[in-house]
Amino acid sequence: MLLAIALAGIASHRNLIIILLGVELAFVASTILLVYGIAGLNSDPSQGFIAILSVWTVASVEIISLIAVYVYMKSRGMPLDVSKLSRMKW
Amino acid sequence: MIGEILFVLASLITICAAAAIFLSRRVIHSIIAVTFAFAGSAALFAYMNQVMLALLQLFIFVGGLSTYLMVAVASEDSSMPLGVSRFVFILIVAGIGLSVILLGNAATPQASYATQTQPPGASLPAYYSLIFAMVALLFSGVLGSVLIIKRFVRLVV
Repeated sequence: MLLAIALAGIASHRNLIIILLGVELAFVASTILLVYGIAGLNSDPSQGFIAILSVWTVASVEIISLIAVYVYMKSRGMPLDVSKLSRMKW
Repeated sequence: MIGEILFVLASLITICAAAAIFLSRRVIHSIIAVTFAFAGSAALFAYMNQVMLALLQLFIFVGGLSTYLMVAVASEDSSMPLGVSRFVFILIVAGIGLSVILLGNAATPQASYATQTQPPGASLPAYYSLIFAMVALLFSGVLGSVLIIKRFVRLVV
């Protein structure tokens, strides 16, 4: 359900921040599924724990890079609409 | 009984917050909604007897990253409209949800996980180096973002 909402939000929005928050929500959905795999399926918890840490690391770095890009784009007055990004010239 | 009620409550909070991310008109409201989604997922982890993971989720995402997001976005002008069609969003959610239900893949968690034989952090000492590598990756991302901001934006302390 969370993944469905995340995919719907990514597909229906043009704002860069909202799209990346949708990616973050997909990470949360995958983490919940991993925790369910650890707890509910009696699998090896150590491997699941490492997988969760990997997902968390990627999600954290994504948020941090999102903020850096957001501050840079706002300072330059660049639009956050992804449909207009292809017309930007560096 | 109470556990099931708490599970339903945490699930509702998480799903409503997830929908609110894309239905709100301002970016700062979306970030507040994603904070609630993080907290709701931490409650779901606690319901599945993974208390340490729930605490880590709270500390890292709610206490750290959400705060960082809110401070960064609130310091900028966030009054730009999102330009989204709510009707399209609701249609896509309904379509994906309906297809999942029709395919019969709607899985519900069990009522209790009392058969867990090993605590979540029992095998932690064997992976210290990997954890330190992940922390190093995280902090390198933080340093990189700070350098980018300092390079192009004048910092006001």
